Amino acid sequence: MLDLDKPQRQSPVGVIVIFFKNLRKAVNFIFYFFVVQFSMNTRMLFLWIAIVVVVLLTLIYSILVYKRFVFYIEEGEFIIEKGLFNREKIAVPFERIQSVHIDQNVVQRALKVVGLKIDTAGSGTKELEIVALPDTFARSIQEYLIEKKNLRTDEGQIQEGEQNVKGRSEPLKEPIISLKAIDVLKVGLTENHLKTSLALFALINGYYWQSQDFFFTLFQDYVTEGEEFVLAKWLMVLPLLLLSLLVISIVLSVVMSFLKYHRLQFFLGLKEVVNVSGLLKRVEYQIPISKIQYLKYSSNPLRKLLGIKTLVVKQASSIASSDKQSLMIPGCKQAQLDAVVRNFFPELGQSSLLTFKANPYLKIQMVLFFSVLPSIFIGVLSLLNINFLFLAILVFVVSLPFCLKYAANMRLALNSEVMQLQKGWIFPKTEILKFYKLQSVAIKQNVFQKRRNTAHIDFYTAAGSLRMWQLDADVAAELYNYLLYKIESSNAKWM
Amino acid sequence: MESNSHIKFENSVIEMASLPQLEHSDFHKLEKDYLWLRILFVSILFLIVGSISVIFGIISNLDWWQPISVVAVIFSLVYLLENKGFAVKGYVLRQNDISFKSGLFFFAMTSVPFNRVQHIEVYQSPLARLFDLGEVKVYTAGGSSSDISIPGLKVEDAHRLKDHISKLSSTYA
Repeated sequence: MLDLDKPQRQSPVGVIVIFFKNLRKAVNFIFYFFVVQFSMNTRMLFLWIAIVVVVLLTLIYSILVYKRFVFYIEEGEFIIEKGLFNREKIAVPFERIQSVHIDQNVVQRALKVVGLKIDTAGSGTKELEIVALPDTFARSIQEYLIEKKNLRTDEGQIQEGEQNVKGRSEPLKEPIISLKAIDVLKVGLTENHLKTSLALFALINGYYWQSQDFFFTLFQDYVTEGEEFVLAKWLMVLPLLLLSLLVISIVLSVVMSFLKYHRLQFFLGLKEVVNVSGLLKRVEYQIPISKIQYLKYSSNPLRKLLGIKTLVVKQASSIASSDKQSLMIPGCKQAQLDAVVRNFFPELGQSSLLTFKANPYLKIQMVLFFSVLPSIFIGVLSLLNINFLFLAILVFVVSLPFCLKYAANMRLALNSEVMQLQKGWIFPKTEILKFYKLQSVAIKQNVFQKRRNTAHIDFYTAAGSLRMWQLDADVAAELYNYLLYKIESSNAKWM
Repeated sequence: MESNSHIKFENSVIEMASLPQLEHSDFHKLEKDYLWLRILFVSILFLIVGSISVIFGIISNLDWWQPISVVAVIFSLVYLLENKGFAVKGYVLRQNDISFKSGLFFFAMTSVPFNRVQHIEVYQSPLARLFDLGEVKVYTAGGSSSDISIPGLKVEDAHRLKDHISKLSSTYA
């Protein structure tokens, strides 16, 4: 029987799990010693001592963290006590628990333990994680907590769950979205490689700067011989470097796509959605339908060509802005996407949508910030080198249509139950949301907007906030009143 | 575009004009003492920054009044802005929601419906204790930017407001 009345520690191997978690942070530190070692030309011995000390300190730290970490149940609350320097006691009432996940990384798999994550909703709450538990123990805690949580929440539960169910017919045995190998390949190939390779570049660059003292001592002779030569060489190497980064990024993306999305199947159940995917590790992910706050789908130019989009299911979480908490399904065809949207938002088809475009002032704002200001900045550099002037003009000419198109494409469409927010041109995205899922709304208006008589509206949900930019001020005010009226007059539970 | 017309929904009988409007005139000002609190706070800051600047000024061979006059100009601007900003701040309690507005240059008005309140607390900073002022913080599940906190209330008012909202919001829980 599960006994959690007394404070308990994790399995002893938890020390190792914590150690590896901390070691990742320590590696950067060790790297610093490498740099110092090479640049100062100290003895090799010093380096080894430094590494041993850092590793030992990490180990001691991990042991202490492990010892200080206990969890137990007391008076209807799950409690974690932890903290080395400042002691912390986190208590979660059962009814606040949203879901309990179990997961396993490589280290945990090798040690035959699992991690347990407890998810709560609401601001100002912390993520709760126990990193090392025997599998059966973790599962019994999971079952226990979910059972207790359901007992607590059932008392106050209203029929929102059933309301949702009524709209749907039978439980769907067939997945509403499923990906074949070719779809996954498409996803991998059409990943935003520019972003990935730039990220890679930044990473490499970061290490380069960290260690530049070291590199300088190595290349000192060449550098002093001819700085211009090095610069010219660098300029030749750069495109090659970027090209190879691009290739690496494409290969990586394809591999990652297969690892993550191989044979993806997305099911719509009566009370939850279920997503199964993965090549080596099949991951089954469940989200209760009541917990879903809004849907979002997006695309990019390559994907538009292939006719695929990415669906994101946004769920309520304590860490509102992070994408980790949402379910992402890339490679959806339009028909599949339409089916999902129809299922979640039957109201969309019930009455026509009223559309509001952003005020033309948005164009001026976008052009100013993303076209004019960058070109002026680059233009100033032309005092140093006249070539920058051409670059400035180029930047202006290229960015101008992007800004104008982006602003022209921004729109908010709504009927009496649902709103749909569309943004973007190259990377278009659409967000769909029922009014009763809103937590609060805000109107934002800076001095410039006041003169132009425009305002933003911010929509806050438990899965993050959305914004409609530059509405006409009177429309924004009316909409604001209407949204408040819709939230306050609805009895539907947002979760 | 329909932008200029009033919002009408085919599917609903609601006329926009009949909806409760949130007018600027409905908002209550914060306690006058809150302005004094802010001024005291800015003055303390001024004393600290001013004395540091004088020390640095003397070190770099300036007369004592040179750095302090620069700092004084900046701070008199801050005083002016505090004064103007205070006039913008306000809150209004309605049957079903509470709203707060603020921001001289970046105006923002946020409303939290009572059926979305997660919890409420009364907060008192050490300075506010001198003035017997309190701050009511209203939390929702929408993240920190969706929460509102109303400073510059008399402590007893703050507690009364908190109790009122807790009572109303608990009927939805």
